[in-house]
Amino acid sequence: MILLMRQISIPEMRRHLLRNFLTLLGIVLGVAIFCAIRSANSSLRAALRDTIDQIAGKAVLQVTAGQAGLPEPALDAVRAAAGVQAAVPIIEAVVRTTDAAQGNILILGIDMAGDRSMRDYRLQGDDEVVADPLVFLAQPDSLIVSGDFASRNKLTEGDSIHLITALGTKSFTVRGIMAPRGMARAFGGNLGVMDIYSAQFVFGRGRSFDRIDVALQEGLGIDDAIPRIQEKLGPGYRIEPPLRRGKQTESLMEAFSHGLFLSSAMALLVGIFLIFNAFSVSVTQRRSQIGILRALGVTRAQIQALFLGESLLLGVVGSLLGIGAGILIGRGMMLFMATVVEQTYGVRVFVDRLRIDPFWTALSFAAGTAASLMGAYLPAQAAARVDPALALQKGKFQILFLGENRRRRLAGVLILLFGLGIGFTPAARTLQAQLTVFGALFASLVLLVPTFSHWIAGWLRQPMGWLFGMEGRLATDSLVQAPRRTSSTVGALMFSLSFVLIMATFSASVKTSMMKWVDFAINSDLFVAASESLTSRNFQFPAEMADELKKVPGVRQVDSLRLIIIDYQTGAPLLVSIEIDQYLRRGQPLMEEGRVDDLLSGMRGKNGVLISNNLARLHALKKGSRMVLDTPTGRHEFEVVGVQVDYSSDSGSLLIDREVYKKLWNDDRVDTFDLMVEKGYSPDAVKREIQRRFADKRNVFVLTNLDMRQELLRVANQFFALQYVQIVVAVVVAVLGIINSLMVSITERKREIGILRSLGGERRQVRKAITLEAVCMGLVGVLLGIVGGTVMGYYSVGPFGAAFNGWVFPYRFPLEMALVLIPAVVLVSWLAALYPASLALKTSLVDALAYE
Amino acid sequence: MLSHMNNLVSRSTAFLCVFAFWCLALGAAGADRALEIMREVERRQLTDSQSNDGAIEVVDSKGKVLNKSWRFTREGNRGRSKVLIRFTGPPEVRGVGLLTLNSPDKPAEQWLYTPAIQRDRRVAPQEKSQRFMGTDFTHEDIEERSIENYDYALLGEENLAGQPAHKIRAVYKDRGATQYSQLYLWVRKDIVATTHVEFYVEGKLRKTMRWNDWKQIQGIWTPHVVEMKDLARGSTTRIRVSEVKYNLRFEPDWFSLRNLRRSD
Repeated sequence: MILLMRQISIPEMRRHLLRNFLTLLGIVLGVAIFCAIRSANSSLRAALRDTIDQIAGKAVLQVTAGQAGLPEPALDAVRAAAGVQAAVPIIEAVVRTTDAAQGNILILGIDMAGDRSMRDYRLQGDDEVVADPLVFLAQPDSLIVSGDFASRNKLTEGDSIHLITALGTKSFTVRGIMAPRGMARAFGGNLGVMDIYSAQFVFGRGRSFDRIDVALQEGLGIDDAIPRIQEKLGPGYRIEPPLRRGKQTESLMEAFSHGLFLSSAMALLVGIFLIFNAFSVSVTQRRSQIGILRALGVTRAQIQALFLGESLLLGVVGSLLGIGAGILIGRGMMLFMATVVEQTYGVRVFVDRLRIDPFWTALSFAAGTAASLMGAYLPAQAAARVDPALALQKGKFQILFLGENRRRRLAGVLILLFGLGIGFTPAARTLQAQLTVFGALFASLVLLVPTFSHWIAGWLRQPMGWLFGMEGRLATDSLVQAPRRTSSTVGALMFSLSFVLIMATFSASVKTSMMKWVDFAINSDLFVAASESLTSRNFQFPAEMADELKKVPGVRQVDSLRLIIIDYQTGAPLLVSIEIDQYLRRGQPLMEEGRVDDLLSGMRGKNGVLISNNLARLHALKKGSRMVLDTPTGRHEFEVVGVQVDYSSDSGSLLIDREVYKKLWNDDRVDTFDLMVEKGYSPDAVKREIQRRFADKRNVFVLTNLDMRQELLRVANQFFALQYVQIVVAVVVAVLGIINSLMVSITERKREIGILRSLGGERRQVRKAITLEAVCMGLVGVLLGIVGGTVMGYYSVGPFGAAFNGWVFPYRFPLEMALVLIPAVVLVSWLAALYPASLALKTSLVDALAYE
Repeated sequence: MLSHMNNLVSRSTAFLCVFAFWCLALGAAGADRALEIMREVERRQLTDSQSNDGAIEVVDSKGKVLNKSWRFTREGNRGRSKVLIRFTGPPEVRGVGLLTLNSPDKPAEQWLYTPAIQRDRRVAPQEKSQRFMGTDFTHEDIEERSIENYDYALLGEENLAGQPAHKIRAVYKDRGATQYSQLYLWVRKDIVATTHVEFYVEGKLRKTMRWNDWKQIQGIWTPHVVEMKDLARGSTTRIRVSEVKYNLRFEPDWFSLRNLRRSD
């Protein structure tokens, strides 16, 4: 076997260096994307877990009540539980410093007069936390920073640091520096510690904590302690080990992670197809060689092993290079993903280094190698089945293909029917079923490519003849007469371009729907927000601020909006509370189920909720369904009074009356005030007046309706940026596929070109015919790619999307992308053909005719 | 010979028994005497209430000085007292209040009020060996402990700063509830007041405390300067008191959370 590889495979690979290089590039790209995305995702998750672990210290349990926070009396209840040795309240907030070089800092609010046995935050070179504890407690600007942060920013005790808080930019005094160990290493060392009551004050937490850390008496296990603490608290509280709490945040990013995983898998699939194409052409090209080898006694198994060995070699080299490239781009990908996660989900994760996970690295290598083997498997099998006698008869090979084409067509149709059939089964709504349908659609398209490309090539004969004369007809005739060569190239093109179209369809459909929804949903004149970011809501306003806003001249209506993420079954939907009567006065929701007229009576002062369409689909809810939610005041049942179109959260959303929320969640804070302006007043003027009135009191971010739309668009674009990156990857891979396939096919036709010339064809004419053939291949490929991409794209925003995140978006054909793709692919095809055509024409007639 | 020997042994044994009994009696008498002295010290200091203005100076090993001043008020005694300290300076801590409610059979309850954020909070029972508010006094040092909870031994008399004083060794009976292996106290014979204490940890001298500037206020000998030195850390805490008054009457809710929250 090794002898065969050395004597046959290596020289063959050397002879077609460019082709193999392009094929290799496909694997490298696919593995690099896969490796980069997985590594970046793992790094984000690991950084999140590290921060939680380092901050948790000796706490074995943590008590939370969702984003509404824990009321202070909960602390006494936890302390009263039997077996609790210590219970300390915590506030956590990531805040920006005014110095961009300093970056964000994670502030922990800790009860400095409480139990200190929970955490290790030793002062540098000292055994006390701060030199003057009384001043530290008395002054709300007191801060302890980590040694890392202090040394990076050249801070010593007594220095000031400016942080952006709910009360505006405030100066804080460094009154202690932690030694760089334990907790001080959390969040990349960008950690600060404040007294918890000062933190409540500056971060607008009112009278609540973010969580309570619990240490247990020796001998008491977690499983025994949880029910004891739960009994004291009642329902509506989560009691769990610290790392499990991190899982909630990770599940928030789950949909995002799934999307990335699919994209990275697509990149590998494209790689598989490139390999398939390259090896199919290689088998076609080397059939004489195969025939000779078989005639010399080489077995079918050895022939198969030979081709698989070549693909394995390509796969190994490509995977190793791909992992290297993946690591190089992984850091950039990780930082980008961290930004997208923060913008989209409000979760800030401090990542400064890419963690090379051995598992994902090994998996990337295995995936690349397996992709290479998978791509070459069928061609290798076909090579093994080559009859030695028939192999030396070229024409027979093409004719034989027709019978094979019938089998493929049949298989393609059957798989298509199978896939469509699943769509009608009860299990159709599940993600697994939809993935199967998606895969079946794709597989059937791949199998039907030869049939479609044959038909289209035939249809093109006349128009090409009209446009380009004899050369045009020659070009299309070549396509029809060499279906094996044509279908491989066209298949690779179709595959790549379908991927591009799917991503573009998703992007276009989602954006169109979201913009329409924004037009309806963003109907206030002004928005007064407590946090700069719409998603990472670090700060809240006190409820009383509504009265101050009402006094601003020109303000007609003030609605108080509070948004928290809650737990519901396996998801983490968004709970939105607002004064429902005022909300309905200024606009009507887009209803999918139920009537707007019923909303007020069903929701005002009652346990009625208006849920989003995706929440309804994800949890099989409808109008009249009952939902049980855990709140700080206990477990309560809510009735679904309607289903609306809403894109606030990919985990779904629930709208509830503010009075009900305040009563059940014990939380009257506000994230954003939505204002309506009196007629005759300019929103910009009212905005300026609000900013002036609150300039010295607290940090307010005032946006007009236009500002808000632009901000939402920016957040959406940030999210879609990742999609665009994937589109670029798909385009690059598609172009690689085009170049690779055309170079292979033109090189393969050296003999035919020689015959044409010997029959009197001028170089100019032959070059034109060849490049036109390439253009036709490109045209067929892009047309099929558009058809395939349209079908798959329609499916991805419809049934597949519904199973994935509950949303069904009205389909929007990505016309702009299609209009760009057609000329772009035609141009690239023409350019890709020029060089190999010239090479082929430069070969002497004798050599060309002798070419095998 | 044998009978002579027997006689000798019997007489020696008897002598030894008598001697041992005499020593024990002496020791017991010494312990009783020491306890008697301590009780007298306490009796002479016992008041129903007290107020004073205080100023504390903490000097660390590098010479850095931290100053605070306060208004101190106390009602009750013998482990049942209520204490309210209102800080009057420096400006960073003005208005901060510390309320302590002592109980003989459980840890003291403490609350701290910070006027800057208008919040009071419960101060959790801290480790006894932990320093109180950055001073050289630990939480154990400022705890009100009954003198009956110590074992005493009278070690004789010494001259301290020209004044004759009883030297007493005291060991807290509940060894698990103290960081100190023993204390040595010097009680001035003339005014029957403790003027000097040495604190030992695992047999090694760790801290010393002196009371100076004695004056009679309302018939009670009152030290106006207290100085604690932490020999291991090299730091010193000095407290000066003035405007000392005893047996005042406070408003009924003076030692309450409501009053604590008033920062003026």
